[in-house]
Amino acid sequence: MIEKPQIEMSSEETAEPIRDNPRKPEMTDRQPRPRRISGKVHLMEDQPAKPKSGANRMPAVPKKRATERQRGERPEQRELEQRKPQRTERLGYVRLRVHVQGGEMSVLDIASVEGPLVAHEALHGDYAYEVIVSGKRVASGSIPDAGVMRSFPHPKPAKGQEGHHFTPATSFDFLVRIPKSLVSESKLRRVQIPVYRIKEGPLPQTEGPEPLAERFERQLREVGRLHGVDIDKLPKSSQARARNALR
Amino acid sequence: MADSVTQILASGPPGTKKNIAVLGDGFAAGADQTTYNNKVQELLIDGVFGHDYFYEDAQAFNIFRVNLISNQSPVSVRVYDEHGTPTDASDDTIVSTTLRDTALGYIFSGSWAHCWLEPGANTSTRVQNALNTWVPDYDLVLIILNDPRYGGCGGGGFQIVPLGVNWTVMAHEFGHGTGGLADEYCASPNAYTGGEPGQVDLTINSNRASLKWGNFVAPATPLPTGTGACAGFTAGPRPAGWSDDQDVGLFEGGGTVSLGIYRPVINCRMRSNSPPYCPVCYTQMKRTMDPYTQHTFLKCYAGDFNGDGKDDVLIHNGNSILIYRSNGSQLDIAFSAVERVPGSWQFQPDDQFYVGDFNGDGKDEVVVYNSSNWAIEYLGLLADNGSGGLHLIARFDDAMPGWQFQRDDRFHVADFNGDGRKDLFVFNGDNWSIPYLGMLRSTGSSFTLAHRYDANMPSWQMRPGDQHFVGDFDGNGREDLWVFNGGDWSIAYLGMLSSNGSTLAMSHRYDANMPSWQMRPNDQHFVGDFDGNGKADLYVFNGDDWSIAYLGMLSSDGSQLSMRHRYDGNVPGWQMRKHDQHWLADIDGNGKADLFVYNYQDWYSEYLGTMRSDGNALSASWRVDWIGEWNLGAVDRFEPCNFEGVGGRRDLFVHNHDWFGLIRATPGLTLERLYYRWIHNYRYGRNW
Repeated sequence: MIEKPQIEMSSEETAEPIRDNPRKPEMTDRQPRPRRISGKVHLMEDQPAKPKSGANRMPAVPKKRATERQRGERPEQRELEQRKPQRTERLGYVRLRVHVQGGEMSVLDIASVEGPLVAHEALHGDYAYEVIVSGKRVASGSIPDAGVMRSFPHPKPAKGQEGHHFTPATSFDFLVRIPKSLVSESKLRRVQIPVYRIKEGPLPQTEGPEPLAERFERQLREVGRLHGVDIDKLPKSSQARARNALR
Repeated sequence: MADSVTQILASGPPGTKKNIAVLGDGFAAGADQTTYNNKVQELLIDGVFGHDYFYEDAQAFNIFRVNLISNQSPVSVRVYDEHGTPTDASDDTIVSTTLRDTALGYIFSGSWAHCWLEPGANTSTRVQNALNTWVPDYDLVLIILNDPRYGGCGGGGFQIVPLGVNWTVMAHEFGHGTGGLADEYCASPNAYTGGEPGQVDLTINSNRASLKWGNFVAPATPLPTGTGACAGFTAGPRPAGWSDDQDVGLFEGGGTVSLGIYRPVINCRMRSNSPPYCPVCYTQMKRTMDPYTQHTFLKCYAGDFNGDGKDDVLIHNGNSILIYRSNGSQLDIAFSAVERVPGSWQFQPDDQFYVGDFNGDGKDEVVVYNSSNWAIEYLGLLADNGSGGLHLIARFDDAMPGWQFQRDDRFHVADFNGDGRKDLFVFNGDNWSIPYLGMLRSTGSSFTLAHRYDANMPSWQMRPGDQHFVGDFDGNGREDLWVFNGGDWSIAYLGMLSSNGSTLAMSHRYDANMPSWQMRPNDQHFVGDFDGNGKADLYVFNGDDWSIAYLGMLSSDGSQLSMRHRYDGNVPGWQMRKHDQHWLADIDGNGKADLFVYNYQDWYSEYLGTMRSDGNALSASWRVDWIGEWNLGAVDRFEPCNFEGVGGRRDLFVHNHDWFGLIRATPGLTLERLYYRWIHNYRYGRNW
């Protein structure tokens, strides 16, 4: 008989037990019959004999086992020897240093960094960027604290010297990070990197391909855009490193 | 001496963390480098990352200290004639410039209107070269100049400071650089005339319903709370116990102006450096850095780490641990360690933690074992460092005299010699040609092998599938060993081996049956003194091998067991099911071991219950689906504990990836406190 599933627990002391395994027996006081393992009955001995010597044994216990008194810093723990990852397995990202001057954006250098990347972050502060490859957002991030030089507050300020002294920066750099698997030299030529002023923030971290401008239309205003990155137009000193990074 | 780099905070791969690069300028080889290193330590490690927000979120950051050797020391200096107008740089003239051959070429002037310092002709290139050469990636750059005066210039992710600044200034500046926070001080008497600021900590909106930090404002707090130039609390008398940095309202003045704009608290770190971040700024920092801390609540361990009788919690994430201390109803940060603790235990994702009072000082210590993340196995003992944290007092690398650690070693905490210090049983049935069991006696500061059993214990042939439990079944103060094997033999066995402090003797072995209990492979055992007579008894549950679920209470007379009560299908108040999970507890604090019970699989909704022992029988009660605001689910994990400090073990830490809760079971199951993503006690409001 298939039991009708019960959906709510009863607190009644006289509630019927639930039969979760109706094909199995109920517990009795009978001595169970030993089951056979690979056709044989294996029972534990009452006074097991000492094991015979053999391979893969722990070294014998030393007769003297003095308590080791330990002091000070211990040496570094020994790293595992890592298998060198295959090229296809290698995680990594490229970092573009973008220069902003007089409203114009240019890339100063491109570097390769090993390891995984948090490709999207919460957007806060005044500016944010996103990276669009083939219409899809592949990275996005904040540009905090950009475009200003701020002198630290004077500890004993004269009148007018309270707080920071702000000087607009004539230029500034920010960093763009893109997972390596999503860019190549040819894709980089077609990449779009819009920069937005954050009108209403902060904005939560969002994943997915939808461009920020569509997702946060009301909160973001585009103030600049980098249309493609041509390595030949990078400073000469950066070109070899950039090509290397994209390999 | 050549240039070099040292990673002084190593939290993880650079692409998953915020990376701080520290460079020095004007520091020659030798003593100057010590000065520089000490300043980095003082400013960042002991200062910024030694306090409040940055302390608890240190795992979001890497710090790379670059030692650049300058040919000359100290840094270049310039003297301006400010012509009596120190706030206006445009009429200043240079009196003198002393240029030195330094690594980066900065020139310190001490003139506020000149940002206290300025770059030299090639400074930008040199800084970039240094960064490209020495750090894999960077988000924030701190440049320390060898000049003893105060000053500093920030912006665009760079902070350039001389030696005269302290860490609180840096913590304020990092609020700009990492959290996008605005200044909350009022330097100018002017009024703000712009629109709604984008930063989280400034507003022109005084409407309670739409105020962007309204969730942190208590209903009784008047809005605006302070009006007038750079106001404090002006809307009536300041309430008793009001905190100027943690109680949130609406205070006029901020963003460097005095009127027409509001800040959340009277005095946040973004106003005057020294106080901690206010709830609004703190929450912004936490949210911004959340993807970089990569913290979860998945690995939590209860223990009374300060000996106040209340259980605290240790949370392990990757290469970090955090300890939060209980005050009876909430948790507060007590300790944060990233990558390692002093004495040198380097944390890794597969670290296994075992909590117990291993030195008998009334505080819990932590044994930590790692057998998979390193080239060899490591076992460490972490103890109180005297200031609420942990440090390593003993470590065994690969082996200790008489025991060779292996990948599948399994540990059980028990005071087997009755000296008040917890010891360890260690068993390995997988990695050798025969099974081994070791008794590792604690000396209080280390461990020594008391005895080792190779293949056999008295009257027990060890097998890989042996399961071990600990409990003093003979009531002599020494915790004994219980061993069960239901799968490796033709019948199931349970052994009760009593400890004399250094060896074990078989007190009783049950073959196939215990009194009124037919043993089966899927029996689950819980050793606890359910009748409160000082002798550990046995709960045994089986929900798999029979048509109905069974729970047995077998009491110990000191050498063997007798069935006190067997429940067939139901414990009064609880219908037992196949997937019931149990945890030992002492819910009413009467010294009789009870059970927590949970089932999320067999009913339409999740059930959490208690089964209380009166010494002879159990009575159960439960809650379904919700415990207060906690929505019970399949992903929940439970740690029985005593965070209230009232005796017994009547509480639960409940946790999953994102949520952490404190559940009390007395008088009924209720949620005491709930945390989301991070543990922080807001004076009003919360972060979700």
